[in-house]
Amino acid sequence: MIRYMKKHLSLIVPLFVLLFSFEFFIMTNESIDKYEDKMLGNYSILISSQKELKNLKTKLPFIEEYKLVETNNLVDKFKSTLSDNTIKDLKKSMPYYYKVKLSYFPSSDIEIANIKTSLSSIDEIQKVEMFTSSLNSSKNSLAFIKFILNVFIIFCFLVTIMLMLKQMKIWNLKYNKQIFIMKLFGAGFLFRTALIYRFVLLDSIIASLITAVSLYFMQSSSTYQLFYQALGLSIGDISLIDLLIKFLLISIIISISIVTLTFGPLHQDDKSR
Amino acid sequence: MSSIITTRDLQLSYNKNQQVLENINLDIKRGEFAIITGKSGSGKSTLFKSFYGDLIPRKGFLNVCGCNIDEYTSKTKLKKLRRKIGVIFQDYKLINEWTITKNIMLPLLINGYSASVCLEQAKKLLKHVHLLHQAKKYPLELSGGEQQRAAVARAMAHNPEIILADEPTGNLDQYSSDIIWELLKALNEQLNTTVLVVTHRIPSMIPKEHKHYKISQKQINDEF
Repeated sequence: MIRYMKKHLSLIVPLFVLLFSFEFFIMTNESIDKYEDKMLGNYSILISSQKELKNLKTKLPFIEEYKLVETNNLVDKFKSTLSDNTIKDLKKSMPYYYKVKLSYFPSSDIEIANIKTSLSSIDEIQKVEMFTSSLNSSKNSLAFIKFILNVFIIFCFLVTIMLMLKQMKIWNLKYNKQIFIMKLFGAGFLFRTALIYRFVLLDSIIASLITAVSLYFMQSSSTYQLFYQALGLSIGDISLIDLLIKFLLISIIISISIVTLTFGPLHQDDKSR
Repeated sequence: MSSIITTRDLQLSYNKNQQVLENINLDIKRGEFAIITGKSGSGKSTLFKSFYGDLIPRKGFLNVCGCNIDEYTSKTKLKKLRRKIGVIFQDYKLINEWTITKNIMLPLLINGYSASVCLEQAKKLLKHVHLLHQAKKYPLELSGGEQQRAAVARAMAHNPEIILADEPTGNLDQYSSDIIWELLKALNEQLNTTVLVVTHRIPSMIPKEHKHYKISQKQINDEF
């Protein structure tokens, strides 16, 4: 087995990198999205209105929800210093305050200004207060990190595909004579390439197993979990079997497609009859 | 006797400008032992290639084992044709990564026989070509003569309608050549398999009733 793995490292390693990059892509994007959602929850827009607001979501589709802020408790604090009538009048004259949650995170100052203008254009709304600056810079940093990571992962993915194609070319040269002899005796495509398909299937299983086990231990490690907790996020259940099945599917589909592309009837080396 | 190979006004070439063979008319009957001779570069191997569908004729009619070979012949049809033919080459064309036994089993495996049936048949053939003691060896561990005997056994394995041999003794010494010719002769006489050999020289031991064609100046002539 070790001898086999040594001989097939040139395919197992790219497959491992490919699967690892794929999972890394999913993990980072999921984590950043979760963190953005969390930030969106903390994002505050406060509006005041003379009348009770109705159908605000219909008028302004970028609003996901808006909640009335309870002000009675605040006024009640002055009970000891003010008379009951004054308290009553004060409660009557108090505007309605609403906390607004947006359906997306505004990424630029122009977007923020537009939201403010849209909200102010509603007749009933008297004032709009937005608390944005620090959250905006965090959001922009996250978007930049996400972009850089995605570019790097796509680059890794392309390099591994190229390495795999190169390995197929080597196998094509190595088994060219064998395939030609089989053709002379009327062997079909699957018979001729059965050996190569067997190789990539076995290599896919090995690479999937290594990647699944590595990621399982990485995600179960206390360091990883501490990082996650520090961001205030929770890790879902990690299943080794689920990881393995996912990786097997991806690696088998990719490697079989590459073999078919390299050795298949569409390939130019197969023009000879 | 019906024909197993028929050609009419056959033209063969590797490119449009240079004809290798012109107006080839052949009729090889079932059960015949036929030999095609010619000088080096006369087009013997080109003609040989066309018989197993590796070279498609530019013009004319070519029928091998009931299959018409032309530019419209599908790969599936060619595959079926090749399963009816046994081929022997000067350079043996054995798979070096496989044992001799597995090499002999190849045509049977392609034809869908079970591994046990293939192994049984391979053993019989190894015995027939006196290579049973080398059964587990790889081609490169054998001498040229032994490799060619294994190639003959492989060509016989699936009981083909015709055996095509291209310079089968070209790389062998006199002793090994005689053994190969004896094997081909026995195959024709005992099993009535059609044998077509392309060679530059006819040895003395071949059957007297053989048919001889000679290629010269892009044409083929019936000598006997």
